[in-house]
Amino acid sequence: MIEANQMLILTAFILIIIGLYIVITKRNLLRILVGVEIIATGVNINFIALSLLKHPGLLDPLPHVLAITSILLDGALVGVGLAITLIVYRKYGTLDIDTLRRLRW
Amino acid sequence: MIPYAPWIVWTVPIIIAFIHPLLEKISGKLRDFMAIFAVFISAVSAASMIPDVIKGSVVINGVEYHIPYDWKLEGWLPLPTGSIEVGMLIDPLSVFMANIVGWIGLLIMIYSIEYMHGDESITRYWMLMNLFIGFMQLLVLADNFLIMFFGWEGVGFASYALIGYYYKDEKKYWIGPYSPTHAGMKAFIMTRIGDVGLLVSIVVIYIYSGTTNFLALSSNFGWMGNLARDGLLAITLLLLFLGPVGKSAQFPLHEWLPEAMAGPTTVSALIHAATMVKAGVYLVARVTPILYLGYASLGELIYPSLNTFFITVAWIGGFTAFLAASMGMVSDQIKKVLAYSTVSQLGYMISIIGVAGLLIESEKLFFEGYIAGISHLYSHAVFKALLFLSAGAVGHAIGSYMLRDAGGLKKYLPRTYLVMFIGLAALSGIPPLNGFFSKDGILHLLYAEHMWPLFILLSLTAILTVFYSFRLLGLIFYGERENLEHGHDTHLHDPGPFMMIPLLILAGASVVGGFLLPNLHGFFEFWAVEGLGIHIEKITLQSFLTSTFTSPILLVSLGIIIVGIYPAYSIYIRGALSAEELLEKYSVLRGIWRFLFERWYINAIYYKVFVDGTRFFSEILFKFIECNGAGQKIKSFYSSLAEEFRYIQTGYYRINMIYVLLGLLMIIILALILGV
Repeated sequence: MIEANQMLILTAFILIIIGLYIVITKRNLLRILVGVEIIATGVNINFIALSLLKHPGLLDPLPHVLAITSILLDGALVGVGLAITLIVYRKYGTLDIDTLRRLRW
Repeated sequence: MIPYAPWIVWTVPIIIAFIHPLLEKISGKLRDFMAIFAVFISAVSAASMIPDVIKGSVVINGVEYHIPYDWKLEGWLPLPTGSIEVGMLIDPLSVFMANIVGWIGLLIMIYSIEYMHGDESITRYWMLMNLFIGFMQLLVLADNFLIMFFGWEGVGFASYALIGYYYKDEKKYWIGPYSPTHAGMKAFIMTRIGDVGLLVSIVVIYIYSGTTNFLALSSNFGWMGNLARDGLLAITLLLLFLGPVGKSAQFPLHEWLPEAMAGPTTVSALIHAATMVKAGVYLVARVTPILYLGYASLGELIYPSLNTFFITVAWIGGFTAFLAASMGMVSDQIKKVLAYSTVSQLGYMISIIGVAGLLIESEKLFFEGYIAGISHLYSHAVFKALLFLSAGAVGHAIGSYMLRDAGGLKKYLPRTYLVMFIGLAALSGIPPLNGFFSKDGILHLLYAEHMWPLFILLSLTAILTVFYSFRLLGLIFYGERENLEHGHDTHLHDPGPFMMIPLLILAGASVVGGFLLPNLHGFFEFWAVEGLGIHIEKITLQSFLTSTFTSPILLVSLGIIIVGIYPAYSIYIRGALSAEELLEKYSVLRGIWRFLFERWYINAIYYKVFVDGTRFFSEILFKFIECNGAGQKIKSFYSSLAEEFRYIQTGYYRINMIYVLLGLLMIIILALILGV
């Protein structure tokens, strides 16, 4: 019998793995951004899940506060990320990560 | 009381302020309507609390509570060291202030419809005006120092943004040598100096008492005694007073207010009549009864500190009153004259509350002085709103606020002339207008208590007030209208109904306001008896009028008016003497004129010392540290570091991701080894 927190940790772990897979294998900048968001979701769930280890029954408000803050920051992050993507596309006409390598030495 | 009235009073304007950009998209008319409607709701809610305060008890959710009632939001933010509380205080002072802010604000908002018509960024205007009123209501209704400070800073921000409202203004419309943006920043920075003092003293009080709540502070005086034993009470109170000094533009932080005229006239009216500068007086009036109660229970222990504090308050107020009135006599700009007069009248209020504190040993006199200050605040709010709005009507007609562009307007703007005359007469204290009664109350107390230095100073100030009031009247409305060839004069007419109706209401209030002062006294009576334990006689209209018109101070008042009016009348209204010729003839007068016109050189000194000093310091830093010294070193260090590390940057995204994976792996391995 799997307990609730184990279930949650497993979900979070799977989400993080999916996100990492996307981030590593995809070439399109937009897809990578989606991957980053999936990782962030996994991390948020992880916050709540790990809080159950210490205080069963979701009583501790701190992880919730952190998760909400993190969701808020994610929103800002997506905004900035999309803005950068948009500008990159306007400037270089492509979102392919392998052709965008002007930061190399 | 309307349910939740003390909360509605401040939340509605603030919430509406933030949805103005949305409303603008729907319709401009809706936005204008909502802006005024929000203030209307606020004013009505404030008014609905009046009967409860008079009755002395308030019914909330079916339970009856005594006034002063502290309506707390339970458990808002509990902290281990005592929670930060949010609560609204219902007591006579807060309800009185909320009504002043609400109703005067409402009239100014209605006036704004016509005055600001066609302005390109009107959404910003409504938004900031609503914020301004909302924060001021929060300030006056807050039940503790911390929430009050929040409103205090909100008001500061809104005033900064509104003073700098015409940020695109061309140089020819500037008032004085500074741009509106500069004026806004000056106001912000100068009031901030005071706010630092206020914040420090709030923290000190919190450390000593463990609370910032007004009612808690006035029910347990251990903190006051401890502060006095450590010798900190006087300093704490003086730091607290620094806040009002900045906010209410008292000497030495009075210099921001004349520059604050750069904003729209309606904003000036709001700043001067209802919000912002009244906040300082409110804070002094809020703290004084707490100190009174502390004295009543601790007595001699804290008396020396209180005496120091109240002497400072009384004399700073008195000196500011004189200083500003003397500057007002020579100002070349309609709104600046009014600004100086505000500073001067605020000086009266603060001074008399300080005097009330000096008379703390006699409960009756303390209350009398306190009420005299409150009465003057009320009278001043009405007639100063009237004056600014009628100045706005004049400016609307002639398109300028310079006195040299005005003159001879009496026959073009007869109704504006009438209301402005009432306003200026009230300011100079001509019976039976409201300014007469409240100023009479102040002088009466000083006279009865033989405080001769302050009495003489404030009487002299009153003479100057009468002089500059009638000088302003003469320069705007009398004399010949010049520059007719400009063709502007065909546009000279009284304003339309949206501007005229608030003016007429305020003029009416100035006329009858003085006779309502016994009611104001009655409004505070219950609280004085219950809260302060002061036994006072009830004042009826009849006894009030009898005592006012039979006291010897009436002669002084009339003497002040005659002495003040005569030179103003002969120079500016009848034109028998010419001000220019007098200045030519007597070099002493010219010197005085120069000295006053340069604002006692206080402004110049501030700029020389603080602004130029900071610039000088920053130049030194720039030259020797940023360009040549450490700044350069830091830069070269980091660029050489970057040179070394840039080889890691392959530009291949996947390689970077592999580093990430490796890092993750290392963390997991570490976690397994350490067995977390």
